[in-house]
Amino acid sequence: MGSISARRLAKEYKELNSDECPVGIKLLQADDFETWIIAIEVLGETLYKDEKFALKFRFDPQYPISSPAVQFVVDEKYQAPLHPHVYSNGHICASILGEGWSPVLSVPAVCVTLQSMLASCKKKERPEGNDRYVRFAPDNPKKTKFMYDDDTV
Amino acid sequence: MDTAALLKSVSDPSDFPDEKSAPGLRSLDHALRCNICGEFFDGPVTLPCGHGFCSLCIREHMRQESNCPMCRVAAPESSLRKNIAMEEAIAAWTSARPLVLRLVSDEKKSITEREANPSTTPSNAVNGKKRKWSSEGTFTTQEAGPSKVQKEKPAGDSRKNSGQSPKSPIRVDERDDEVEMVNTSDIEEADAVDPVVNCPMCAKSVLESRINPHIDSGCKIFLASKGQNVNNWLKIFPGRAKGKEKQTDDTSNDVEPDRLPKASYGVLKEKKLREMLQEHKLPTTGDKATLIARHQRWIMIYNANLDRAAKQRKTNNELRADLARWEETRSFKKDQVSDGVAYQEAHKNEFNQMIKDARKRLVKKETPEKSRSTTTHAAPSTSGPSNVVAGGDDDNVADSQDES
Repeated sequence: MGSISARRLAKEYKELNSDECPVGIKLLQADDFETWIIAIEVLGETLYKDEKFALKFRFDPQYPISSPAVQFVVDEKYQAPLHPHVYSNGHICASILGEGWSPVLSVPAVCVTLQSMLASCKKKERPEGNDRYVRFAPDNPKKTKFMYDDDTV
Repeated sequence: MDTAALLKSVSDPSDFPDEKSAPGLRSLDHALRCNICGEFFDGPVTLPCGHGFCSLCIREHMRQESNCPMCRVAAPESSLRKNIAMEEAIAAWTSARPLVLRLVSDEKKSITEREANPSTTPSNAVNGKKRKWSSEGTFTTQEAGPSKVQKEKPAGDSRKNSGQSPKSPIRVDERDDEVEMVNTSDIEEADAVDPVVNCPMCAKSVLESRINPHIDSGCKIFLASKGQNVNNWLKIFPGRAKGKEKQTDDTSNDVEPDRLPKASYGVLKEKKLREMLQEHKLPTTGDKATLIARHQRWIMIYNANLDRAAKQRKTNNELRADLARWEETRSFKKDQVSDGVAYQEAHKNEFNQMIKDARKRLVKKETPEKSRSTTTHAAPSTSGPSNVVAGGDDDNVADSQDES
């Protein structure tokens, strides 16, 4: 049987490897149901034309009730896109990854949303306070979001 | 858990071909699945907005937010209503699914075969013929029904005329209109399974299953007795039957068990908690947090179980086994921080030390942003770094919400 989160992820795995996978999204690595790496590119005439990025998804056993931890991969091969919602360490400030998460969302849905976030960008720049944030940011971007939520409620 | 095995074991709408080659099948399979777990609805419930989920899935979601995950319209847990029609549709679809999958793959094979040698069109022709045959079959049985009924009516009329005849089977006076109506509809209803035959003695139409009692009675009894007719009516209108049964014998089977109320754990003493667990024959080991979590989970799975149809419901013992399994998986990730405030409390000293260190560092640097450093940067939980990102973050979130 397997847990709900593993079964649900197995279905998403199938979708990402099927003809239903959205364009510009490709599953690079999914050895288990804890961490996935997904390649993402933005198609069409955008500021990120011909750029390739990688997203890292981390799932906990409560997925999909709890959101996955999603960030851009920053290593020798990949960089985080220059975008007002993306910190240079790859952390993303998007409502759907935090308080806007809904259990009906999925890995492909998150990828598509981030694609459109990049596609609609008008000016390539880092978010305000990037350096400060990156210096002290926790490893898991979900924690940042949590603090923020906690602060404003 | 073996990934490959799991991938094989999960079923999915994509088991069916795409919309072009098999219109509707994928979307049908998708429509009967919960958008949270991706499985067929287990104890389907509907929210006020009309969206539906598994009872347990939506209850888990509602522990965090009381809204619909699809449209975010507010919906308290008390507003959940079970969806019986959906559950029946799923039961039917899950039993039909393997056959449909087989037919679909057969169809695919025959298409590729036909494409390979287009001169022969074998399987499709056979299929077409079969369908015709079966439809003819049902057509004739449908014809049989009304015609037989009509045959009986004039017979009854003639009986009225020649009431004295020894062969005239039924005491005409006793048959009021209602009973006659019951009889005719009885024939129609029974037709599907019970063919009508002509009695060799009186040549009247009689249901095959009744022919022996009919002959034994000297061709007096045609159909069921009045009492049986009432029962047949009740078969057609089960609602009334239920009501009647409830009046006569109030058996425990019909009584819908009550849902368990939620408890306000904050005001409960540990002893009371243990009593509450004992009441449901649940283990009473562990600290207060464990007891609360266990009781909460029990209420959730117990109430979700009631949203299943009575036949599909698990027994309390099965639920207890589920609860034990859930606790096992839960204890795995005990080192994760679930309660930020408690964590902060427990590690207060460490945090204070870090705050001190951070302050010292800042003083040395003499940064202009001194005011921001009142709380810690390095603390891994709650309020700390929020100060750091709050400013920029605020705008960002507003932006991203606009987009989505």
